[in-house]
Amino acid sequence: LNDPKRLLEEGPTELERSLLSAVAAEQPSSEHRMRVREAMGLADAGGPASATRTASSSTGKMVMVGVVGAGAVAALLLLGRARQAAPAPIAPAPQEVPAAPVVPEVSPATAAPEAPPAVEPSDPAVAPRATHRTSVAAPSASSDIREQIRLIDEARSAVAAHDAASALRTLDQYRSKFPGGALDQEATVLRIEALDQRGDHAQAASMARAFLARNPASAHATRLQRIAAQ
Amino acid sequence: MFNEHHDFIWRLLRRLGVSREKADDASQNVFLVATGRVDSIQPGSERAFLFGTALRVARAHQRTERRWLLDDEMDSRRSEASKPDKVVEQRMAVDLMDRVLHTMDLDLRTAFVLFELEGLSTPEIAALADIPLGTAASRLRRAREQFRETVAQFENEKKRAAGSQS
Repeated sequence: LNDPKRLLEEGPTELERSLLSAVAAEQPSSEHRMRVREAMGLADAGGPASATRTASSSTGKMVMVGVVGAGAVAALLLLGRARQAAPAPIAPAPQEVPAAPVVPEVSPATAAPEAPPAVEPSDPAVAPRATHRTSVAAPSASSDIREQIRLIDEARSAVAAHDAASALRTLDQYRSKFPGGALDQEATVLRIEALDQRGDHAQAASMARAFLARNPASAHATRLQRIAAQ
Repeated sequence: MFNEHHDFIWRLLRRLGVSREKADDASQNVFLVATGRVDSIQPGSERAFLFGTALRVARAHQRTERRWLLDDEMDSRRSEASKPDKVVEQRMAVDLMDRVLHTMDLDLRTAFVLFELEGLSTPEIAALADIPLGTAASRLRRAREQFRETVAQFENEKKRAAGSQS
């Protein structure tokens, strides 16, 4: 199987070139990189090495940054008018898609925690902003994720120690604090295992089957198949 | 892991439908999840882990941000006045591209973004998305066809609009 040529190499139309070029130039702000590094505990690791790096993609190498044809602008304005006339979304409703690819060991996020309103949105279409709000950390988002991870790890340890009661207490705590949280899928898997350990085999099997029906390609599938077969 | 993959993940989230306002926090969350799971990520699988996490985050945003296109457009118009023309044009082109991408389902969009914008090969896409090579190639082919059809529709509408004004 040979790859086709990229569209930019294939003689794109003016509008196609404009659109492909425009998104290739869009990058996260330096301020955002710094913020994530801080949140990850990497703030003192020598600064953001990628801050000045341009897109490594072939597109990034091929296009002139910031070159946007008039066709794109005209088409956008046209589309804007069309949307005013017919406010329904142009896109079809998101379709149910297969489960995410299997990732090693865990299937972390099923939903992103809501962004804290205090965080100023970045403007990635413009390279590093002129106005800086340094250290605009997102403490609630960061601490939420850390707390979610702590609770899930605690529940996992309890399951590993066959302490089902403790695991279920921790998972109840997780569910009440983070309904639909980023690690909700992992919490469900641990709950199924804890219920099974506690002797609630029927409930565990029922939940396992429902989970597998919803997430057939989950990284947890193998672990749950035994319980589902009960 | 951060230096090598952060910008890729941020761009991926944006192109998969996460709005400008949410992209920073979404990418931060992806890396915080990875930080918390660093011991269980097998060496060499970092990008696959981040990709899988980003895909889930993008799906979640897709469910909660049905109105992001309109909101983005309104925000964009409010802030246009203070920016140079080039920046405004750039931003409008990005918005239009996102609308074109939004007409594709997430699987096709992912294949298109990885190939056309991130420069991955079809085998790399298949490996990253954990799908057969033929599936990756098929998704890419359909995505490219859909992209060209949608852009052509826009161009035709533009011509018709220009014709009716003259």
